[in-house]
Amino acid sequence: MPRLISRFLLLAVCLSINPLLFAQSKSNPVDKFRQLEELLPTPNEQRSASGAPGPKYWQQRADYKIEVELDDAKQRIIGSETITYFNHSPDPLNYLWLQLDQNIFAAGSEANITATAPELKREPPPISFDTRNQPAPGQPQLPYTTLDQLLAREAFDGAVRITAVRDGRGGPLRHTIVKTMMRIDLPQPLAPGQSTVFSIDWNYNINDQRKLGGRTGYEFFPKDGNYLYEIAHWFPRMAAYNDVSGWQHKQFLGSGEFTLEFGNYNVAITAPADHIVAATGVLQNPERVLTAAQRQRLEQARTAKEPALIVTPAEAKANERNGAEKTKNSASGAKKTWVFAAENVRDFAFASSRKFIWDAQGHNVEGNRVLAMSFYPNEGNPLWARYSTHAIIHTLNVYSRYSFAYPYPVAQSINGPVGGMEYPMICFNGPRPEPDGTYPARTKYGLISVVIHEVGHNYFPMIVNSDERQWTWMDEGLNSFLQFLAEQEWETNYPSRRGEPKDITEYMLSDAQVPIMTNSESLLQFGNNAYAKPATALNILRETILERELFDFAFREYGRRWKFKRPMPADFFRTMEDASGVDLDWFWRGWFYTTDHTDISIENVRLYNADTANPEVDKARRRAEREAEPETLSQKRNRALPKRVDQYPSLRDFYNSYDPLDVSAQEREAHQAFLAGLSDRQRELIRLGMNFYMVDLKNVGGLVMPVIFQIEYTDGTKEELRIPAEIWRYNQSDVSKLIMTRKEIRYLTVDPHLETADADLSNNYFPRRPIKSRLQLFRDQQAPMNPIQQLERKN
Amino acid sequence: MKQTIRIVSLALIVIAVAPVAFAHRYHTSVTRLEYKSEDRVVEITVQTFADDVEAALSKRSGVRNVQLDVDSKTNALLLQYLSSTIVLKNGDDKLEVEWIGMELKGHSVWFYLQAKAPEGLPKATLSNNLLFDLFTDQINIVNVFNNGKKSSLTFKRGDAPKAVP
Repeated sequence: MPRLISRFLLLAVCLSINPLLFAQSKSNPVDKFRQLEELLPTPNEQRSASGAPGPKYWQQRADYKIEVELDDAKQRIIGSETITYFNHSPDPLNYLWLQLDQNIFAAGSEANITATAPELKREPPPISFDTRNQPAPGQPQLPYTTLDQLLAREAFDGAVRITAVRDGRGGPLRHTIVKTMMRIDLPQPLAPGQSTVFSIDWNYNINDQRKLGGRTGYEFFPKDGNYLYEIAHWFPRMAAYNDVSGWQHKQFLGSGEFTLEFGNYNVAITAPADHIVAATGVLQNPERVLTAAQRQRLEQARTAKEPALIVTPAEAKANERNGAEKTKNSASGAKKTWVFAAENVRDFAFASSRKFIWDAQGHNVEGNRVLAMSFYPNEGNPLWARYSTHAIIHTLNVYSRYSFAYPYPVAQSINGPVGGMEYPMICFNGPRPEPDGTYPARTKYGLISVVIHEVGHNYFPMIVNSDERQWTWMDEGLNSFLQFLAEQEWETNYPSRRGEPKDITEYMLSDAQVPIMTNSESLLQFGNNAYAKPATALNILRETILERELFDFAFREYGRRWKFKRPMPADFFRTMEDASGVDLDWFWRGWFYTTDHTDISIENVRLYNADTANPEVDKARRRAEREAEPETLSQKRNRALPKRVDQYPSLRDFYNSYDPLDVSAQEREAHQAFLAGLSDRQRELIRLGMNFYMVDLKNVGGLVMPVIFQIEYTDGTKEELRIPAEIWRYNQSDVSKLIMTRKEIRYLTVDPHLETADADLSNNYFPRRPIKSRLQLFRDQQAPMNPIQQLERKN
Repeated sequence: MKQTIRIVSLALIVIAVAPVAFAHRYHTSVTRLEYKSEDRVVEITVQTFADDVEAALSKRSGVRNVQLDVDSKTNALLLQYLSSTIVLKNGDDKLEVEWIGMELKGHSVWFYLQAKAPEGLPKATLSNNLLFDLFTDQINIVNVFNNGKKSSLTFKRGDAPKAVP
């Protein structure tokens, strides 16, 4: 090819366009393909260079035996636990740290004290449907509901009371409470490879979730006088001790989530006899707590084709009747103790109420028999009966395909006050229909999405046990990515919120970001970095960079390597490269370590034709070009004027008839001689009549990304050209791409399928075309909705 | 001391009023503010979480469970809320914001607004206090496209109005 170019004169026909550039790269023009080693921790015996756990990988373990009573009359938890803690680390431990997360509800908790004051006086006045009753602008306002909540908060003491900490022989152990953490001093250091047993008694008041918020709490139903409990971080839990951070004992402020150790649990929950209890793990004593009919229904549900009811809506209705009285009398009334066992879990949560409807369906997840179950009050229907258990099973199917077979025996979804929160084998999900039983589409998809999301968290981080408090994206980002895949397998065009590259571009454009790989304590750590941006990055990695087969293989390998272990970010980056065989350092660097965005611009397209060296062809074309040149105005007006050479023909000589574009005999001869000197192949290449298009590209956004061309020819045919990101490896801001074709190009488009999150589409076309903003598109397409249409949309 | 305790409690309540959270635990909005010199208008596109806005409208209006996609009265209420929280001024003159429409997708919502600006935005200031009345950790990002340049503004609770670049 270079030979052909050098041998032939190339004629340029330059088709120029004016670039209009909005943004510049936010990172300095450093080498975007430089390897990541300098940023990643050095591999060691715990964490290998391949991204797999090393030969000396270790993690601690904690087994729990707990007896707990749920005091329905006073909304309290009274518990007693025995923890067996195994020190698998190479370090002797003089003391142990435990988490007392419920202390965020203590009166003087750090969460309360560090919360910044609201700006009452600067707030605009509340707005009202009732225009006659508008408050004066600027007047401070306190809605009654807020006042009510204020008073509730004043009256509530949610601190954990530790009533005893004892060693294995019953002797007292010294302990120090540091807000949401507790240190237990061991009489002698716990040596590597040893275990220790100790026990703790405690109690606390349960928070009203509707008024005080939280990832746990109760909901009170004034209509029937009953309580519904969703109980989490309710027992003193071992803080994690690991090879990277040592003790992970950052204070719990309510927004960060958890970092925990695996272990086996045996939990006996004592609740009013008319409560239904759902919990992490498998019920050990159904014959003691369920009726014969319930046990029979549960057995049938294991093989049912649709979710089957264990407690029907009518039974739940009957059970909740006279709730106020039942609640009041529960202190002295009959009680039942539900015993649950769970193996290899990092946490334990439960729910309890006399309002619960209960449905279940057995399902085979890649050879593992799983019981999918939902618990919800009548207020949740008809939505919950229709969607919750189906969504659980759908999640297990899809997530198991992309990571590993769901290993636990049950998966449960509970409806209560908590909007959406995950625990092993059980999650709390908020969406409910309107009181009249109708629901907008958004509530329906909100429920399906939140069940997928929270059940999906079983994989990340309940099983692939990443550190949620440190690296939120490792569970939320990966989970949001799989959530998108599961949603798109629920129905065509499911209204997913995250995953599509085009939905993140406006955020990516902003200068005011920090990279995803910023410690989560940074104040500028926007939530988008934990959820939408990593989820979108992984979707692009799967669809555009690695493509599905390679990505899916590598992603499964990550899950397989790290299930029931604790990965760090580098372990993910390294595994995805190790298993895909593709150097992705540039991708991690761009998407996870910078705030650059994608914006690739077609700056210019130049057309070159090979000179055929045939004077007949060549001069004919040049003559055509000459004739195509416009006549100037003077030429035009002068044409009819009488000319002297016409008057005196003797003035004419050779030059009056000479045209340099006429082919001379010498030229013909020279061409024949030239052809004779060429090989057959070279003669064929000339006859091909190729068009050479030089496409000049500019990387406006800074992120190096593949260049996806769609080429549309003048004959109407289309072609796609996918160029890997390595096109930018020598020059990360400007490159040219040669497109050779016998056809003539009419249009060129970059990123025609909106797969790279290109933030400015106006420079993606040749020739340039005006691009409508989201707002303009909306204005063009949307007829204003009338109330009837709005009503119809509700149905 | 009593005074201090009350303020502390109040702050907690403001967080705690956070509605059913639908599994997103962060609070942010991204706005595109673009001056169209050919039409002499400012186009404003706000993207945020629908449930957060509904909670804000419920809190402000005292009406339980305001829903963006079903309630025909909502548009007026919403425009009132948006124009009281997103304030664009040219000098001392507040630009009148017109409602164009709204688009819902999943739990995301896009609001489309525009304001006439015959003189362009030579001395414009912007404040974006969207949802600051509900969340202490709300962050509002604004990408400004003006005079052929792109720039970004970030608004956190307590920020003063910022000059539009």
